[in-house]
Amino acid sequence: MKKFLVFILLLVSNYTSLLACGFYPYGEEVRISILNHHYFNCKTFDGFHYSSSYYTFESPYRENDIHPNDKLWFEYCSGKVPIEEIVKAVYEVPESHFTKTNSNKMIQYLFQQNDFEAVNYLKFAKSCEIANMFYSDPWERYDRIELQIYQNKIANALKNSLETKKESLQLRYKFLAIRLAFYAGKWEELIKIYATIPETKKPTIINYWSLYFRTLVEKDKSLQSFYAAQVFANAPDKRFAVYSYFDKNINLSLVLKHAKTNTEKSNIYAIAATKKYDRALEYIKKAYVLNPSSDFNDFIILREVNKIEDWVFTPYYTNFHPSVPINDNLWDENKLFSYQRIEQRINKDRKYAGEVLNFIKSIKRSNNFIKTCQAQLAFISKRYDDCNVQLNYLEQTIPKKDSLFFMVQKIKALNITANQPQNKAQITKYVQQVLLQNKYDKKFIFAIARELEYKGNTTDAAFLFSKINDQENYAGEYGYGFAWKSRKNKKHSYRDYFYDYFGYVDVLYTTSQLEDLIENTSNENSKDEFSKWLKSRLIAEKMQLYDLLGTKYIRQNKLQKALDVFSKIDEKHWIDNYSMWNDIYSSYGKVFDQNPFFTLKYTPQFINKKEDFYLTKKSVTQKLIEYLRMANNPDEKNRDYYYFLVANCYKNMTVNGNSWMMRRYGVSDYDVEPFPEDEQEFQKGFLAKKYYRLANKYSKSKKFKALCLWLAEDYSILKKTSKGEYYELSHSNCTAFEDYFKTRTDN
Amino acid sequence: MKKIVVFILLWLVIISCKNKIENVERAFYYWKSSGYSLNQEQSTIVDTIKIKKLYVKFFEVEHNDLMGNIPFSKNRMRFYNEKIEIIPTIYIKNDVFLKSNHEQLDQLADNINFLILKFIDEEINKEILVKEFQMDCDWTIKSKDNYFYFLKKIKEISKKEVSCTLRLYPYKYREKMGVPPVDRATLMCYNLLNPLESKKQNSILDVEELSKYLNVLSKYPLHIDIALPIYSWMQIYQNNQFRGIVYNDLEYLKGKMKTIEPHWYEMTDDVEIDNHYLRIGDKIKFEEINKQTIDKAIQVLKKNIKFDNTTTITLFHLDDSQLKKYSYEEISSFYTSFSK
Repeated sequence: MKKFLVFILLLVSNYTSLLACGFYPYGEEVRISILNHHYFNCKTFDGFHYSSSYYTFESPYRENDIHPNDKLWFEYCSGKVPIEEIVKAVYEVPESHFTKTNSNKMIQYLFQQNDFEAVNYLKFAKSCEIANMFYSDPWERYDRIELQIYQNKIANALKNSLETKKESLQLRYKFLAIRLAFYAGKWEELIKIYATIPETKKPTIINYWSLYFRTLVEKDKSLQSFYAAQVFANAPDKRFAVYSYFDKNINLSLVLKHAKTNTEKSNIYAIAATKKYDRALEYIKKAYVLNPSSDFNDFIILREVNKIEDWVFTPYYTNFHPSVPINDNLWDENKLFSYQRIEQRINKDRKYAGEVLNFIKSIKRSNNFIKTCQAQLAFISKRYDDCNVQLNYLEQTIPKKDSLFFMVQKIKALNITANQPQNKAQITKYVQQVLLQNKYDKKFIFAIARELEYKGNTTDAAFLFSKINDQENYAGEYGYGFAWKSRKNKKHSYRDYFYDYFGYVDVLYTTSQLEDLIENTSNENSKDEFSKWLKSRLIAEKMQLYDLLGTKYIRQNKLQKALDVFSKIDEKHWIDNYSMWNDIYSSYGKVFDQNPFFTLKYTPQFINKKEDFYLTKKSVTQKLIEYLRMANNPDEKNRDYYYFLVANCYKNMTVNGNSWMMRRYGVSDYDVEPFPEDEQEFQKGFLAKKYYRLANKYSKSKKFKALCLWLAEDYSILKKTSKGEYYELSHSNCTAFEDYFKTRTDN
Repeated sequence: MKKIVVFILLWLVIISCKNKIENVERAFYYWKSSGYSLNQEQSTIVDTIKIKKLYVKFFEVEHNDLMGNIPFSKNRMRFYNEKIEIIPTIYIKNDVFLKSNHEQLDQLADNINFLILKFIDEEINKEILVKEFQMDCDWTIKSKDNYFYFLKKIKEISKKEVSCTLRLYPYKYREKMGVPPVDRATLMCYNLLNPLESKKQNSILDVEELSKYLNVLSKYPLHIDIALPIYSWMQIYQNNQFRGIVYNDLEYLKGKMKTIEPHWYEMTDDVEIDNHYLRIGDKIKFEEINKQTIDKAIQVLKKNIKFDNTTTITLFHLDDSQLKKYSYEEISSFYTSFSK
């Protein structure tokens, strides 16, 4: 009987337990957004901008903003008291300090004016502050006693409101009475008091604060939603508290019927647009038509653009699902991934961006914020020329130090990069400059990198990928900062994403793409600031790139090419990265410390006479070439022996061998497709089998031949040709391999 | 021979009579925490179906490390209809009984009794009958002793009839889970499976699963009432990842998706619903309860449980949006089927 809510909790608890399994990128971490709301004139709507996170309260005012209530008191004091003094008197000076001798300028002013009504009001209001909360009595055992205190305060507030002649103080006393009634649970009384507030054409923040409490107790959902819309539009500090009281599931016409003015109707459409998770253009249009001058319009337009950015950019650039409100962090090893399907949605959403763009172009509201949105929508809908026109205008209009200007530059950089012919894309001078200015903005750098990659410039893309999670670029963040997936992936898993350039280049880049990259890394002609920044990491990691290129050649079984590349690597690289391979000290975890030619993993030593050399990818490749040459030489008398050593090495270069690092950088780092081209070889060791068979062919020892067939996994042939050996090897003891190997003698 | 045949026939008649209910008391759960009174649609259902009892969730209780055992999700509903009996129902989280000693449980019983009476006093028409309190807790073996202690205490303090909910597991494994010291128990015939683990079954009510739990020979040593689900829901999977539940407008959503396998659908249109933006291709698991399922469940219950002459049948729950899919006759038949 846990019922629905409890059942949801069950689901959520499952959900969080899976989270505990480890990190998987989701939400804001993967969301790509270029238009940053901090640069827009929408501060009072902070907390409600598009985000995959839950709404949290954020102050709607900047540090030096004058709050509406302070402004009212400023006007009450005829502009003769500084705002700072008003703030102190209203919020800080205790009730008992409201005396003639107080140095606060507002208190002094009120006493000088003999305005005892205002002084008494402020003292009364302060005496009510303690009641601005529900009393802490969850079992409601003592409310009857405390209620009397509330009741007395309400009665006094109403009495004072009748006695004062000043309308502004009458309203303030009624507001206090309403607030007290709310916290006392006297909601019917609250409604009655609210009804006595006269209608006004110029409501102040006090009217909206009163309406806020009236909203909370309204039973009629449509009326409550109407009230909530008005409070949300007019009382920024109550937005967070009242937001949930607008019920978006109610037919909007029922809410609209309570509105008397176009402004009120516009406020309803605007909050309805704010609450919409899907396309909100129709509501945005209505809100605008009914009240074109409202600042609310800028906010909902920006919100819609951010939404479209998430729908288009997040999947287009990262291949993660859009970050939409609920966390996308559960995984299932078997689920399918299809970029084609994601692409269909992206194209649909790009079209929608065009529809929003057409609307914005049609309206008269024209400020730089709206024009910036217009430019971004033009970019998203691939109207590159249109975008360029807007951006050029904005660059000439916005002061260069304005933060909006930097955002315009980012859009322009993306627009320039995306609007280049296939296979001819470059990082233009302009884009270089913008990248340098934004070198800590990982998502922007990544977006440019992806545009270049999609246009065929995989070299510059890789340089930019290398900057994304570069240690220098962490800027105080924990762990790695940004992750992305490959379009070629075919199924999901919790390791299906990349978080650094190396893994991506390892899996996705061809040898020729990697050679181009290395060649550019070597280009010493680039001494300008941008190139230095761009290439700094890959120049420092050049040895790793050679290592990767050689490894890719090993995967292709192009041994000489691999050796040529490995020969360019200095000794320090091998010592720094592969010293454990040579560590004769054997302990838990050190399972790679064996020579691939003479030792098989998980198998006791069985070749006593072995050649000792320092193990590196280069030396192993060198020996492999050498042994192969000897094995293939018809004049060589011990061809079977050398084929056997070669086979051992290939076997050890598989997933189950002691030298898998010849082909991979980790056996469980990524779980993405396409797998490296030698994946079948890596899993099944076909080359090892081939050379064991050749060793068998050239051997004269029956038992050694049997051992070769056994290692080639040719069990049926072995059973047929050497039944006795087959059963002996099947029930092998610890010395079986040694015994069989010893039967072969050098010629 | 004739005598034997007559005897067998007589025996069959006796057996068949045993499992039908002479007098079904029609009831609903009301589990919402918002609202001020029953709305027009809900009132019409109550009147038309001739509902006699409403099990109303008054509040829930949880353990808070700072505040101790506290009520939350209070439901201050006003009730005016004198024809129905109200049974205040309190959901208590199991950890309350894992984290409280007897002294704290004495206090809890007193507090619960106090708050129920306060709500009755302030919100419920004086003419409405309130003679029973129902406690709802998914107790475990570890919490059993404390929970049973509390049940005795609430009975002692309230001097009311006390009932409790009974899930299928403690119903079947009664020796291990104990029999709660109450006047009657309501057997909850739903939420049998973990919704995320049972991909191929309906986790709200799977009749086969239900019958496995009812397969007990001896009669439960308490008066048993029955609770049946009438709600459905949809689980959303985007890119095959669970994203949430949709509870409303299911019929509307049905028109926007196509079947791919039993219980599973795929969205054919982009739709925004209940704070979710469902896109084409998203997978939906529709766990639907319909008349056929409920009828089958009733037959299984009648076959396996020996009911008392007067037994309450409660449907979960009085939600007009979920009830739209049933006609009044169909809802009524869920009660009358137990008497046939």
